[in-house]
Amino acid sequence: MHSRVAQHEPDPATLVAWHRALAEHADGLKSFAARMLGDSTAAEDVAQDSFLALYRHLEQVPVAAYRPWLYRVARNLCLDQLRRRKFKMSLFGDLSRDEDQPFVPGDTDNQRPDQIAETREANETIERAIDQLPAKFREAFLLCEVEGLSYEDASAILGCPVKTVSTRLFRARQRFKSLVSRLIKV
Amino acid sequence: MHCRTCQHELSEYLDGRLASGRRALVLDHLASCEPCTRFWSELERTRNVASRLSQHRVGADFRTRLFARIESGEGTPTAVFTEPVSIGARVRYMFVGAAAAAAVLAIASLLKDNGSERARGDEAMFVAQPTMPPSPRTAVEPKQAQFAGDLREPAYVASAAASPLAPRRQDAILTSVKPLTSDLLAVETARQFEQRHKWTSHCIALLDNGVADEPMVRKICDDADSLSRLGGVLAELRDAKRLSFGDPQVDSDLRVFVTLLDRDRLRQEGPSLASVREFVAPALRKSLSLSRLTTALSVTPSFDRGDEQQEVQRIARS
Repeated sequence: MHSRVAQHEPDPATLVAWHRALAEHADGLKSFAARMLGDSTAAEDVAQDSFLALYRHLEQVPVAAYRPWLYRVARNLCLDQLRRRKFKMSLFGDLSRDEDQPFVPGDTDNQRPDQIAETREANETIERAIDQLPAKFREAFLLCEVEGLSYEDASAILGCPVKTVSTRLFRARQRFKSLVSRLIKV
Repeated sequence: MHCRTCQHELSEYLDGRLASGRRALVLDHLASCEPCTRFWSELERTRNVASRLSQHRVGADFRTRLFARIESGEGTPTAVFTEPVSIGARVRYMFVGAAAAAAVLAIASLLKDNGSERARGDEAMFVAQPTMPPSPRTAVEPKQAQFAGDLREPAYVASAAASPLAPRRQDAILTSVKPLTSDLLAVETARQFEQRHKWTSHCIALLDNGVADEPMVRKICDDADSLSRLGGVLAELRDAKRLSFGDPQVDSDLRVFVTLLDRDRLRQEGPSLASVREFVAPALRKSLSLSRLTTALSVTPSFDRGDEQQEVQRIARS
């Protein structure tokens, strides 16, 4: 649900900072949301809603806090969607989940077909492993390991102490390690 | 050191989070423990595997759609501020809340009885302990709502129309949201500068007529701070030849204004009538032509190119 708001007037420096955040974090936010939701289209909407929310609160959010703020908002939106989806899933099953996951091949220009297939398989294994992590561990793993946020930022986003972030990340790594054990064998 | 502790700390070590004292202990243990050494090498390989994850890219029309939503005045989605609380937690809070309320009622009732006994003054005082002490979990409830409470609809919505003298909000830079180029920055900065210049000059005229109060003085100082910053951006854009002024008087007045309105000193002195008289008023009086700055403005057309973005961002942040 969206309301209408009066337009306000950010100063040019703030507007520039917002534009920069848009350029730097849009892809990361979408990736985070996509792995939380397992749905690329919904993830793009979450990323867009997050930037819209930041735009409407530019005066209240310090520039240095843009990134954790955006991720926290995105997390709230994802959890809201997951909660709504829970009811639908119980009735119809999760039909959209696998089909919406796009395959991003990366740089395959110089790869042979068997290598491309191998890369694709590895990607799918990694994505599946992340998907299988419990929600709390997955959040910590995505924020710290994949998106490279600090423990402090992750703590602000997840609303838990830094030590809890560290513990969740450790447990997430343990599980992830066992799930992708085939890929990490030397 | 226990292997489990070591492995937990190796995870922190991987992120560069381990203090040097603990690091030495962990590395000592690692040198003599084969399972932990294996765990460490697996942890490093796991990180390499995770780094292979491809980044999702936003669609080509992501920005266009976002700007359209902003321009249409669409508000913040309500779910943004909805901190998710599980049903189990809600039930727990309900019981904790009920227990806390019962404890408060018990204390209040005992204190009331105690007061009436004291009034009679014929019996020894008796202070009862509450039958059910408040649980420390009661502290969790406000914490859950903290983030939601911090960020309701912005204060500017209510405050925008607070003063009839305030600059018009319809001319906000938001009405022309598009990729930030130097011409857009120049036009919008000039517009905001001119508005504030007129408004601050008006307030200073009121001050000269003896109409002054503390909020007005504070507002003048705030606007002077913005004027100084906006003037600096305009001066930088002019030096970078991204804009020019058709009227040479405006050009020289801008130089005078930026020099006279010393932002650092203004901040040091703080908002006061003396600061306004000493720093703000002289700068405004010697730059009267700046109240028609936009009519003299001429900008160099520019395109949204990556290299220019960097330059524009540097100027706007300077």
